[in-house]
Amino acid sequence: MIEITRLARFLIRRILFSIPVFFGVTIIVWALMYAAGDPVRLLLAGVPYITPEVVENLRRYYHLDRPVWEQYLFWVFNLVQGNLGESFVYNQPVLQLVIPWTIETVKLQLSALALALFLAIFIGVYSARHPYSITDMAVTTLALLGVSMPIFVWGIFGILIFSSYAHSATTALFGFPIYFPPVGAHAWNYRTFPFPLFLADAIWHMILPMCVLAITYMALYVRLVRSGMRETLEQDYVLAARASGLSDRKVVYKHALRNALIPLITYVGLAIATSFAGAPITETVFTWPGMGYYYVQALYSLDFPLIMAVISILTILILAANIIVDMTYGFIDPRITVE
Amino acid sequence: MANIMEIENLKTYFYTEAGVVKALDGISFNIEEDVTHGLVGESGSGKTVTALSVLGIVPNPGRIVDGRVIFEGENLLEKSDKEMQKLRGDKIAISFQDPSTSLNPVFTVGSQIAEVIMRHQDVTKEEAKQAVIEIMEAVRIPEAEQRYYEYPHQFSTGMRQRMAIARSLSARPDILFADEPTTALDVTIEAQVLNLMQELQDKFGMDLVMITHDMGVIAEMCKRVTVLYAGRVCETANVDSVFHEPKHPYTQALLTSVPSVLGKIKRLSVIPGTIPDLIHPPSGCRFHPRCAFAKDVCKKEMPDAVEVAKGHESACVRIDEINDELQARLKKAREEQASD
Repeated sequence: MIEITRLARFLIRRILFSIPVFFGVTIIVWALMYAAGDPVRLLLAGVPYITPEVVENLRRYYHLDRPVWEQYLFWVFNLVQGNLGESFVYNQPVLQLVIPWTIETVKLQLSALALALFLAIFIGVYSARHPYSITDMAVTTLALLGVSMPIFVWGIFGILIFSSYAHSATTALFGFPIYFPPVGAHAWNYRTFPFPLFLADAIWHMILPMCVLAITYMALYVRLVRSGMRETLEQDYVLAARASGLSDRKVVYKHALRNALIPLITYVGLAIATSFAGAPITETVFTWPGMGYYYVQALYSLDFPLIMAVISILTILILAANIIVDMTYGFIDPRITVE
Repeated sequence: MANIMEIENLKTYFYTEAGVVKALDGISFNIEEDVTHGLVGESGSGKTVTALSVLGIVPNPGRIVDGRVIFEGENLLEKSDKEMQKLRGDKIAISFQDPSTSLNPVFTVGSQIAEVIMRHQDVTKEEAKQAVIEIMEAVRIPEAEQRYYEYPHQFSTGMRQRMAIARSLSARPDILFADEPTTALDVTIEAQVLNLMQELQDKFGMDLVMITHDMGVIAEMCKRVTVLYAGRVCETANVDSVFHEPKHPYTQALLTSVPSVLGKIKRLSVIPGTIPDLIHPPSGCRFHPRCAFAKDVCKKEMPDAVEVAKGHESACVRIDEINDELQARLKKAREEQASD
């Protein structure tokens, strides 16, 4: 019982602390956005026969004629009521646009993260148990490559091999193509699909970007798991667990791994932030209809409400991820209490 | 007296980058039934490695290269790891030197002990928990029922050591290797733990092997003792004869360096030199470079422990020649300490 009330207290306090962070982030982005340029002029660029009245009316329509601080307060006032405004470019409520993008981004990033962690744990544990073996050397070298090579290089290699070459090679060999699609998250007509087909189609589209992301994430995790396990496997409590007759699997995956996970969680916590923020690159390479891809588009057109909506959601996601990670510490390592 | 365990010519080497460390280079001794056995020696003499080798859990890059460990008529070194897992903790157990590192910090102490019981006995979780609480009470942990759910860092060092011992006893082993059970403890708690171990030994009827560098603990607890030096056995004998009439110069030197509570504090006598490098151990008798009695013969052959008196094995080849002198030196050192 005490545990639950303490956890609730922790959650409430962390959420309260997150609120000023959220507004701090949005204020900074708001200011930078206004420094970047005038969206109305960008919107009307190249449109013929524009009179100053039209410009003036458009400004008034978007409240761009008001002082910047007033506009920000207006945005906050609307945000509290769940209204994120209307996109300049799409002429649609921003929230309706952003929600499906958020789902696509979170779906891709979390599955890539999960895949990377899952593989990294097995590979890292194997490497740690057979240090300086050929497999370990190969894995460590590949991991170094994974860390060093930027994601768009992996992405383009992936598309080249598993989409382009695979498509033409299998067509030549079997008469039909076996490949992974390099573009998009769904087939164009996915709305007509029955659920099983919809799911299969979504997974098929996700495999390539997910694997590419997983490789770049995994690289670091493998190294973290390996070094963590190298250390914990030498600890007395692992020897003691072995001495009390526990099976090899229990000794390694229960007693040693649990302790090796602590540094990994710290890193995953940081990685979630960078993965959401780094989404634009991956999503641009794979034309993935997620927040990152549209965020870049919104920046090009200075679509203020859209930029703010994406920033708000990213900020909330990252703050939430941080709180969850801090909570996980408490579960994994009892010496760390959530305060 | 029947032997519960016979260790013959046990060799455990560590293959490090610097070279092969001959941590155990052919040690032999028997552990008799119902006789508390002491393994004594300096750090690095191979006491702990002996216990780990018997259990088959020598950590990397260590390997057992030769020897036999006979237990219940079978050679443990020929058994597979699966077979050994069943013996470990269940028949042969070890409790480690430092209780603050030998309990896993991320699991409750209770669950760590219950895990061992459930591994070796066909019991439900609830039964295992009851057994753990019972054994926690046996090692005198107050409020055992609540303490079951606590983590190692919530226990004091003395309690942690008692819990570590409780874990090694949880499956009622036939033989327990207690690796320096009192080294990490302060003196008041040391006495408690030693008393407790004796009590538990009577209660559970197990054989105890005390691994220590503390001659006091040996005198207190053991009936028979094996003195190790640099991975070799110097002598094995009853405790009384080792203390009163050692048959090896190393033992004599070791005893002389123990301070007496009777005399005034003065400079302790020390053994000159340091323990040898086990990658390039000295030829012949490992102790000869530091031995006051060494002659050429000591450099040539590596002596095994042989019976020199009834129930007294010694690995000194010159023991017959030097015995009188050895005893005289010990007597003189003791008199000096007592008179000052």
